[in-house]
Amino acid sequence: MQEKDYILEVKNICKSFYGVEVLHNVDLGIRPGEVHALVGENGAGKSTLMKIISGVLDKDKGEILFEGKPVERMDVNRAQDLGISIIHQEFNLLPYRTIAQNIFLGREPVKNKILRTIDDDEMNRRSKELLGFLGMEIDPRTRVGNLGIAQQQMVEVTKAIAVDSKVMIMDEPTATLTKKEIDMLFETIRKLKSQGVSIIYISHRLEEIKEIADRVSVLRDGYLIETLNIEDAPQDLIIKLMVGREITNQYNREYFTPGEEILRVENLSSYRFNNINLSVRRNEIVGISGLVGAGRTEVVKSIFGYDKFEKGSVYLFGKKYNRLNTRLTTGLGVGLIPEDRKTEGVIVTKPIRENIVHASLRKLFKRGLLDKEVETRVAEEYREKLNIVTNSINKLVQFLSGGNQQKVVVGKWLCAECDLLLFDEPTRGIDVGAREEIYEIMNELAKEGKAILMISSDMPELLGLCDRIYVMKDGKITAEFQKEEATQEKILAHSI
Amino acid sequence: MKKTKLLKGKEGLGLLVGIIVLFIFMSIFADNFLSLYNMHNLLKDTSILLIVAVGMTLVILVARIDMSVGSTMSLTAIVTTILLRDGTHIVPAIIAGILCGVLIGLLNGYLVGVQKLNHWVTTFATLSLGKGLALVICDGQIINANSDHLKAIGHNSSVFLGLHVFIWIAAAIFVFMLYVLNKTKFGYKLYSVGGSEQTATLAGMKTSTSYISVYIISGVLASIAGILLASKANNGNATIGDGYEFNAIATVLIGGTPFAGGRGGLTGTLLGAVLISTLKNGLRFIGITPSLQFVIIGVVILIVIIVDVVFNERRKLEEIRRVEQ
Repeated sequence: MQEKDYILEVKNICKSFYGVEVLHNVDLGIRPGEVHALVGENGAGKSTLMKIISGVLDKDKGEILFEGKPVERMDVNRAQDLGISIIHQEFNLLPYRTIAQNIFLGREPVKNKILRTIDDDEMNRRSKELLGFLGMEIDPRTRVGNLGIAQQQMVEVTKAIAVDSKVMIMDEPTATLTKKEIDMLFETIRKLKSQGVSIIYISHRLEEIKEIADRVSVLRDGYLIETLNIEDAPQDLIIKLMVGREITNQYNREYFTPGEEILRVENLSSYRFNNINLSVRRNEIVGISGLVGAGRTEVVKSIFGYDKFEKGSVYLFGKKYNRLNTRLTTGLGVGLIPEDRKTEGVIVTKPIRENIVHASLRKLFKRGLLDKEVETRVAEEYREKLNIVTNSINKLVQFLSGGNQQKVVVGKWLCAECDLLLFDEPTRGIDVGAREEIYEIMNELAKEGKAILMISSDMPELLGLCDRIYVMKDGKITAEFQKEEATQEKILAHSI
Repeated sequence: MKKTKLLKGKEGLGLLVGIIVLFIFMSIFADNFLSLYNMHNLLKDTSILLIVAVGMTLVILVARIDMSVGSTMSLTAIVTTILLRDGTHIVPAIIAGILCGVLIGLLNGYLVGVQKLNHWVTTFATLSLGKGLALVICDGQIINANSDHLKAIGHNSSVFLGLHVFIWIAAAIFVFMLYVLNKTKFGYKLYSVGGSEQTATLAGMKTSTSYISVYIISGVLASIAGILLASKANNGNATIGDGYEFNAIATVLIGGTPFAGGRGGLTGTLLGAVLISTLKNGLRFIGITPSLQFVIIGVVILIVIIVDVVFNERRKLEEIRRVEQ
């Protein structure tokens, strides 16, 4: 196929965040009127690539061609003018405004040029037309907040049609839809296709891709691995292309005979997950794998007592609980090292010393009075133990690197004498050198007899660290693997 | 879907029912409350509050706040009355007064909209700035304008077609802003920016201009209110607008425009203004001391906000349930 046949083409796209390259020389061509699926693990670079195409992010290097012509400066407005639109997973709709007002957001038809009065009738009439094209019989004056999720998505699609989109990017469009709604969406996609609209379809659901896509491109670690016609891409081949990162020997994990059971979860359910059963013993590192949105964080936060669960029970240190709160769990010796470090893990505007003692105030200061000497002694102890790189424990945490911030969070829980540590994406946003230190710390903790439950989207990390790995999908545990039997392919096959 | 619509209807209705109940209550317990004279007075009292609250509605609609309106009123009153005292013609004196509002609004808008400073802190600072300037200029004295023209605006006998000039001015401003907010591109943009700044930006809108314009409008309307207030007594002092920011904010919140922005509007603000004025007017009639009036108005605001929170909670729960299905 000749280059000029592509409606949209990107060449040699590179992008780095804070010195870490997340896209490496990516080439991708989209044909007119095709549904082009884009697959890849969490963090493979799909979202970044789409943000560059739709003008939300700037590229570092490379070229974007639209209808064969290079686009010099791509930004949101330019992309809209060209006819590239993106339907985010999180809808960009204003819930208190009507469907018509949302469709014409920022481009409302004007009746009077001087006063710039809005032509509501025209807006509603044209909205009705557009909705009718998609087979939606609904009053365009309905408030978007009163619509169901699928209908809201249709409004997003209508919004895109209204600007004469030639390329429509759909990011996980079916994540929150029911089977019937998915059929409706596919019907719409086929209609758009017949009108010559190209669709970039991001999804983890390979069965869907089989059904709707013409071609599929696989991204892995920021590299575009391959683009295949859908007939030539059976499911197991796609999975094989998606995984395959090297597992290096940076983990140095020592394994121990597991001790007593510290955590057991029985039939835990809430509106985000269903019937979860798992257990963690002393000296063990247990992993939870799965895609973003599978409900992993929600499970861990429920165990920590931060989120509520509806049914089931949690056994902590042998005692059964049907209801938890963080005061109770931290008192028992459970610590959460959250994914969103800066808002949930540390207090960035406080110095290291205060962050370290933050969870142990009751234990350290029995009379309720702060004691700077004790604080200094304890903070210095953990600074040394965890090798927190800083010139002083009085330094504000916001001036530390991600890795050192993470060590402060770990220090906080060790100071509180926690025996069960829940890590949510322990190395997210942490550079390679500091990662190894975090792994070393985790190994050391397991050696000391702590129990660790960790969530990670980084599969080599899970395979390199864990004794056992649970796999979650759509709020359920779909598999459990011992370290000997776990492979990237097996885990991925159970995640999607 | 139908259910939420019904609830929505009830919300606006609740305010109206509240006002009616209040009216019935007052007319039973206070003689002359329902008299034509008092009703006219009540409307006149509502006017100035409404003018300030209209500006505040726009600011809150974009999820910001303007604490500086009260001191803008004072500063305007001082500037205008001093100029009039020194023999300036009424027109340039009023223009100079309104310019104060423009400048304070511009400063607020620039700092909040362009420099992205915190809106509370910024407008608290300009509150102090405006009031301080007013005090410095008048040296703490009451400025007697001695102007027949200014007096002509505010005097009790300044009646046109049976209604006081204040009422006409407030009505004109209200109707004009109602039109702007609901029918023009400018108004639509405010709802978008307040609903979600990110969504508005992604739709290609420039949000900073929205912030700047709402603050300027708020400042100008505060200035107009300040001039009206000064015209009532034909003099100005540096505390004339004190507390108006709180009354205006309360009016807007009672009227159903939440701090989160993006929804609500001027109709609710009108009802809110009427409710607050009626309360004040009626309580005075019954003989409740101003101190106790504060307490009662505080309680009313709390009730309204609690009801709003309860409704919002319910809406959120419905949302979650919908996701589940």
